[in-house]
Amino acid sequence: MIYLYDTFENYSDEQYLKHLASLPAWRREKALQYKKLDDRKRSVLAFVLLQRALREEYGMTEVPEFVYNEFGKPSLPNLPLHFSLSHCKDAVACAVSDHNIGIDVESIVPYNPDVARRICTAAELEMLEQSDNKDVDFIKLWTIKEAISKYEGLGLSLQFAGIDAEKYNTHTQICYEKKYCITVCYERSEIGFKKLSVC
Amino acid sequence: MLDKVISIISEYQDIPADTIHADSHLVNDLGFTSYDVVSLVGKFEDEFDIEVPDRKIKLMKTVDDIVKFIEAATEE
Repeated sequence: MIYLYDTFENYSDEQYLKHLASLPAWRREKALQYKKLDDRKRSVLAFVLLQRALREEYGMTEVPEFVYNEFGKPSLPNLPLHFSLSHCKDAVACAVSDHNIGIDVESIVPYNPDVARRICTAAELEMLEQSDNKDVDFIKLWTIKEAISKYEGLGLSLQFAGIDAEKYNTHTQICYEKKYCITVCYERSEIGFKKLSVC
Repeated sequence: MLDKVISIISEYQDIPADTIHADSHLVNDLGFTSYDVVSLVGKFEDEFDIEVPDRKIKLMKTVDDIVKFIEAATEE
């Protein structure tokens, strides 16, 4: 299940402070590491989404402290559950599943050919070259590769240009109104979205 | 070199330069996404006329990691 929050403009400082105070100390510390208030808010929101997802989907009342693999992929210790968190300027997303899962959400930004050359295959670059909507098509590709990378638990260690997206189950949604793109990479087909207006 | 790198990061991420330090972590402290990191690397390539191999990007976790890479690359 995917939990998504994209009404960031409605997330008040008061709500943020209330959520921040309710976080376990280890997560509060991580959120407060960020220099910018908006980044702190997104970090807090991502955890609040995870708390809610684990409560509603699995009846869990507490989120144990994450453990990380050598490439930084977080997991819940000693639990047969998987999760993935992602946030960008315009949205915060949390995926939970009984099976391995990776999620990425990115704001749609102007097409940057230098970044594209670094992460795309020749065929993908050709597709982008012919695209009438390069901004969206490129960010869609990026989120697919990033979601796969998070699914594999390798982060930027996975060479993006070498990723064969055809080998994976991915699902992408584009929000044109809010200008962001979200992709989930998953093992099973029962993926659902819950879009939250209030956290 | 450190000041120049901090200046570029400050402008890219809209963070005051005086809050960015050599040991600042790009993701955990400065709020970079993976996309931001790759995009930023392109700016350093242009600014310092260097090439950053893909395999090196994953090693750039802090501001100091970037500074050390650029210093080594520009000395060659």
